[in-house]
Amino acid sequence: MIDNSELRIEYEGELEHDADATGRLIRPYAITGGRTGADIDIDLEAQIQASTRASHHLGAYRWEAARLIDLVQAPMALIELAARLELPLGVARVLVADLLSDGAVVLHRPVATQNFGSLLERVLDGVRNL
Amino acid sequence: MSVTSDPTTTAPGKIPVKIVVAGGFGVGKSTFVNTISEIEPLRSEAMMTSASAELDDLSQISTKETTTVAMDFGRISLTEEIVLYLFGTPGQQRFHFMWNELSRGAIGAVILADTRRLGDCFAAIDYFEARSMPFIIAVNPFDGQKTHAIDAIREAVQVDVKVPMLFCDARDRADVKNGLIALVELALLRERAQAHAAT
Repeated sequence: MIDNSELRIEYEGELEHDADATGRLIRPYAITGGRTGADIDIDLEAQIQASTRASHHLGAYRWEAARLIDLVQAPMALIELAARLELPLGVARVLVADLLSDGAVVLHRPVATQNFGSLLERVLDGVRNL
Repeated sequence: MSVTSDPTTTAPGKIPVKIVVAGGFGVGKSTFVNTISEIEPLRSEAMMTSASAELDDLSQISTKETTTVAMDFGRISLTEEIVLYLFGTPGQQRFHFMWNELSRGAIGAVILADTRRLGDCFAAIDYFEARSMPFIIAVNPFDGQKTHAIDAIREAVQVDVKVPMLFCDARDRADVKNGLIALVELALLRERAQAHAAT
């Protein structure tokens, strides 16, 4: 049996905390205008970095985006960004996609000029040296 | 492999590679990642879409309910150029849809097994076998005693002798490292065999 009363209590409990653990006063998907990021193809491990032009853009962004740019002064993976911003993955994807189209961040796309085998050899050396 | 450098950046990005850490609920996946990650392991969340939620058993509660899936991950800088991410898969069967995203482009998987509940790793074995992804089985000896011989465990989980299987205390850095080495060696052997077959 489904206990509806218990569910209701949980829901109301959530509403009482308009500012969540991050101190954010709006719900994550409000940041993205309801977009979920499901249609954006950025890998979890894709490396994102602020462009040299990012500082020109900074004043134009709300704090989530501004904090994102701040975090990617050195390249950072999408999934790590999401975790550090305490945003669901899909929301972080939308933010990154918006900043990409603005030119405030860039995506490093590794281009294979050697085969996967030689990359794996270097990975193996790296893991052995841990 | 080289990295294209966008004119708007000053430094080239690192090449990201990833390894999936799979296995049943509570088998030590997060511990495995914690033990070797150079950063405090992080947790990222994704929401199940309502379409996925409808397939879920819990959707009986409400079709509009969203479920949060948490993924633990860690990072290891292997070289100046290569950074390795370790992803702990959400253990419960109903989160398998997330595995596709986690394993896309991955080197392979370390499947953690608990000798007290060997059946819990079958789903992971089936998943990676079906996708022909390299995987190894790391047996976490919870009781501190390696009472089960590897051969007996191999027979119980019914995997090919070519699948590396080793004992791995998820809290022990050397054990975790050995697990990663075994997986990358396997992936490299496979890659070479495929390259050879293609020529």
